[in-house]
Amino acid sequence: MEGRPLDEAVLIERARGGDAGAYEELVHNYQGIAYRTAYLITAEAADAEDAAQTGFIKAFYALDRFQLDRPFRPWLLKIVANEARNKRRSAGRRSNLELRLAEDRPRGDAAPSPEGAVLAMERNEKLLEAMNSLREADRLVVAYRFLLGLSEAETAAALDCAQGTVKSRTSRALKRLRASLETSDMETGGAK
Amino acid sequence: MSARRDDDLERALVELGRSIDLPAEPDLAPRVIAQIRSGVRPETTRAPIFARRGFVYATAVTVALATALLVFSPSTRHAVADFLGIGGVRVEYTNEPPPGIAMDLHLGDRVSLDEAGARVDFGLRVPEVLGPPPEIYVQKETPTVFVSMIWPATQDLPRATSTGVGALLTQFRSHVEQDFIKKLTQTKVEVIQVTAEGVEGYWVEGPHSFMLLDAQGRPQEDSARLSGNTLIWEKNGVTYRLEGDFDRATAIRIANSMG
Repeated sequence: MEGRPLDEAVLIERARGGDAGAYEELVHNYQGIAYRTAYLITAEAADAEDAAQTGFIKAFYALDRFQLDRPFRPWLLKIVANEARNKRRSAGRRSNLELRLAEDRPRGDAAPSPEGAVLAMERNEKLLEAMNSLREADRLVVAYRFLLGLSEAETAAALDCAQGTVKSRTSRALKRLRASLETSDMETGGAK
Repeated sequence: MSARRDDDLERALVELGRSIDLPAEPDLAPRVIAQIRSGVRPETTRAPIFARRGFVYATAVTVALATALLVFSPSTRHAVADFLGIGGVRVEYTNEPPPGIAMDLHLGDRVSLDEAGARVDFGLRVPEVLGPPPEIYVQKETPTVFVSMIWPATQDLPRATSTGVGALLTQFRSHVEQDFIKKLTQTKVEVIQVTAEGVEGYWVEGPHSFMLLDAQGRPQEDSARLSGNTLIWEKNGVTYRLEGDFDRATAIRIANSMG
């Protein structure tokens, strides 16, 4: 995530010069991750869309302040996540995002057999339940790091905190997640 | 606890990420670009900072008179105050149609680089990316001396309808109290603030009128012509005007290579 293709610097430089076409390409490259980053905060598809869109526009006008030798993605995600928080605040919502499994069969590589698929599904459901039981700050850090695959630096940018905080919060969240999984294992084990 | 179990849990979470239900991502690019082009900037929570680069559309402007004292929306007023004049160039809005293409570019006499250099009190500069100019002209029948350099059309420098050449670069000493060139931009012509050679400049995109002014600020006879895309900037008291059928990025690249 930290390295970036050479063309990206070129695109950024061109966009800086006011080249809208170059910026369009950058938006294309990052709209997916920007949208998902916003969605985990807003929990509303329309708000996430708005936040990502406004974030991209603000980023365009702030390009002069972007340091070309730094990675672009964390810088962008910080702006987008900030918009998402504003959006959520102005909506007066304290909505907690309930993560759900997709309806269709998981696309994971761990489902070679129907039994395997069922097991993977069960494991995912359990994991999801445990995730949803986490405090929001913990859930967000885990979701960014592992579900969306953001780097520590990107997660720190999105959460507007220090990278060290991401590290400590992640390990704390994983510990809680494991504890919650073990409890549910004991419960289901005891029920049988 | 153990590193291995941590790894297992992390792997399971990554796996979960593949099965999670998130709404399909929207295609934001067209909307983002449309809004940027519209020049309507998002509200900022902080004090608004007027970026050096901004899109200002002539269509966002209400034209009051033909030669135009203009009413601008508050958000663009700042930019407009700047772009009405840069160096010795004045930019005005009008709703008059642009003039036809003049055969005579009003460039003056053809001279060598040394001769041209001897006629002005500043050092002539040549953009490195274009190389030595094949043709140099000096115009002295104007209140100030204009030096124009011409590069023929190439693959990278398409032949411009307005000039018939690849690139036309004019340089002249700016004077605080006077404009020497006037550009009238019709609606739909984009005037964009840019940074060229580290200073603020303007990129006027689209066909617009161009004329030389006399000492009283009146258009010089027959000097009006159609101008294509133009980059204007001022550095160390010299105004530079670069015209050609290239895009803004190319114009800025040329400007940034000024030796």
